[in-house]
Amino acid sequence: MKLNIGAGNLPIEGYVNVDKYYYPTSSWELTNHKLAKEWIDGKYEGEWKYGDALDLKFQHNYFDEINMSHILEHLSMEEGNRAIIQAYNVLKPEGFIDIAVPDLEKACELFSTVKYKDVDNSMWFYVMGMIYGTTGKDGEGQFHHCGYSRYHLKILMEDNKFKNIIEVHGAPYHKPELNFCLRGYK
Amino acid sequence: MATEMNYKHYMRPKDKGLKLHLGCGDYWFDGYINIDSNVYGGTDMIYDIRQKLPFQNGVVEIIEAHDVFEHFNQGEANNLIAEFKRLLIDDGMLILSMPDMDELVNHYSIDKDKAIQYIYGIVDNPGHKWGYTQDSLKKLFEDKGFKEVNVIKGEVAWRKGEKKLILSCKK
Repeated sequence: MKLNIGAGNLPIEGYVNVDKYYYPTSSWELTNHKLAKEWIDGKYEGEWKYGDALDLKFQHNYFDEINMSHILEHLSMEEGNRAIIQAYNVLKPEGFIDIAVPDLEKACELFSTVKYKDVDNSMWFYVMGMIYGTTGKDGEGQFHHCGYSRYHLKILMEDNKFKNIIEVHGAPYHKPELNFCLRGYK
Repeated sequence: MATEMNYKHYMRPKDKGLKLHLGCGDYWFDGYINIDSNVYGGTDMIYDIRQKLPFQNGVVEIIEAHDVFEHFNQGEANNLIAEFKRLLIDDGMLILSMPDMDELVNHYSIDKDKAIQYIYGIVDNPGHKWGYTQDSLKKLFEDKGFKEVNVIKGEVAWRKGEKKLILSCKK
């Protein structure tokens, strides 16, 4: 069994997809048209469930794999820690978790190169969006409350007993030069 | 006859108004109405300033808000700017101070842990939702039609050592 925490508008086939918020519109068609349509029509019979990353209602040692893509930055530092503990508990021994986040270190690096100009500020707003999340049109869940570098995420995972942490490829729609994904084993 | 004279006497002069201190926290400003959504040491009036403020149009001569503006998302910030314009008398002053985004980001290369706290405002609740640089802040208020918009890099007396942007402008 595989769990996708914070599926948002990107449910993954073959996973138990859970999210705290419901996203009826936006960019679904870009990703998985079939699932998106079923979800919108309320006919989706797959493994999508309401689920809060801070309160996972699954039995312990249940999943082989967990995907947590672009969730951690939407939680405060303290909540992020709790979410990782929750994920660890529902993961089977030898199972692994993939955690993808925007690269705050890269965002800060980029920020010092983009200047706010009178004419075109699109890059400035893009980098600010990497740091603080979107402008909020999709609701409170879209804001970033924290940011991570590879170094910080690795420490956070190790502090919560994950082992053999390696970097893996994240989802292809998140630019690899601006985001990263770490895998850790229970 | 006497009644009419008294009535005129008590009319508010066109160039004088209230002084508002928004998001006051523990810092009570003498002569101002100190407003915060929580009860802190300095709070005179408990009010969430994301709501329309309960004052008549054009009755405020000065608005100050320090370390407040970065706690609102861009939509909320725009609403707040519209409220500033509604409340201020002509030539009324607006003074805001907030962290300098350039400084926060530069700090990242020096001390990552501290920088994350500063960028996201983790030490204070509910945290930072957006950031401003000297140029972006100036342009925002000029675009909204404020006059004599001036943004300097500096610090405020009650938070020594913290590098801030200080905006002053007139309606």
